[in-house]
Formats: sequence, C-alpha cells, structure tokens
Amino acid sequence: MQRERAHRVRGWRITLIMFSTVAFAVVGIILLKISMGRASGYEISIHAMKSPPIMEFVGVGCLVIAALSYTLLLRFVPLYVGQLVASVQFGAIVLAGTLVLGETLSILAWAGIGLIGIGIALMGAVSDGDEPPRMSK
Amino acid sequence: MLKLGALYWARQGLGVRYGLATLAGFAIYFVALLLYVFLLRRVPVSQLQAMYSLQFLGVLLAARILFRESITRYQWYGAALVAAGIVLVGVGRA
Repeated sequence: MQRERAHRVRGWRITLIMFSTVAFAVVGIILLKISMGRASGYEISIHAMKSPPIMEFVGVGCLVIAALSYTLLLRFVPLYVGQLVASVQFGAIVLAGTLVLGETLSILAWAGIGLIGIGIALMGAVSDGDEPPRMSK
Repeated sequence: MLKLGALYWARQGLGVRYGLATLAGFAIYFVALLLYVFLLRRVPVSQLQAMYSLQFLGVLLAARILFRESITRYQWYGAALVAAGIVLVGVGRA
C-alpha cells in the first residue's frame, strides 16, 4: 500500500518535471520573442505592459529553469523518454509561435515540423533490436 | 566539449584538461544561446525551431565521427526524418 503510494507520488513528480520542462521553455521563448518587439500577433496589446529588461531576464530565467528541469528529468527517466519530452517541447514552441505570436505556417512547413518532432523522438530510441527500449526503475 | 571533459574526467581524473574542456563546452553553449537570441530578433519562432533541430543532427554526427559511438537504426531513421523536416520547412517557407 505504502509502496504503491510512493510509486504514485514518484509518477506525479516526474509528470510535473516533464510539464515544467516544456512549459518554461515555451514561456521563455515567447517572452524573449515578444521582448524583441517583432511579434506580429498580440504585439500592440502586449506592448503596453512591456518592460524590455524585465521581460528578457524572465525569459532567459525560464529557459534556464527549463534546462535544469530537463537535466533533473534525465535523472529519473531514460534518454528516450527525455527525447520524447524534447520533441513535445519542440512542437509546443512552434504551436505557441502560431497561437500567441500569430505566426503563419504553410501546410508543407507543418508537415516538416511534424517530421522533425517524430525524428527527435526517434533519435532517443537507444535499442537497436525489435524490442522497444525499457524504462529504468 | 562537455563529452570530451567527461572522458578526461573518467580517464585522468579532475585535471587541467577536464577543466579546460568543460569550460570550453559551457562557453560554446553560451555563444549558442546568444546566437539563438540574435536570430530570434530576425526569424519567426517556427523557422528558428527548425534550424535549432540541426543541433540534434550535429550531435549525432559528432558522436559517430569524433567519439566513434555506435548509432542505432532508430537514431539514423530519426536523423533522416529531422533532415527531411528541415527541408520541408525551408521549401514551405519559400
């Protein structure tokens, strides 16, 4: 019972680290992009509350936290899971670019982004046999 | 460079070579971050992310060529998909 609870807590902790790895990277990149003043979507509304140095510091800070979270994540999960998170992070940043910054992508470019995401995830596959890589305990 | 530092550490312990290689690794990381921020000013996030994925290919090739690490089938397939994706993003932009 206690073991099961500890297992569940560990699972939640890993999920939280995964989420923070992706979320902080997305927020960091978007904040940096907005602070550059080249955002095309919500630029005007955000411009009013923009304070460039603070935004840039927070953006870089978020990227540092994302990098630390990723390093921490790799302590608990195998590399292929880490690469899966990296591929999700990759897609989330592109998605945030289109949703928050109003960037547009052609269908061909979206297909390319999809291929890159799958490719990054595949590159984390360390097993060369037919068996899928196993999660470390 | 960080990998080289780790190798020096494993073979010779924490010495000058380890320190220099690790320091160089962090310095290169810092320069890469500056370049990323510099490009962020000029290029849309989605296209910059496609360029950024080149690093996965670079690291894979460096691991194979410089450190003679074995690369699995899946990793080569992944590298091919990343390369194809970058081409598609480039063509889709034009």
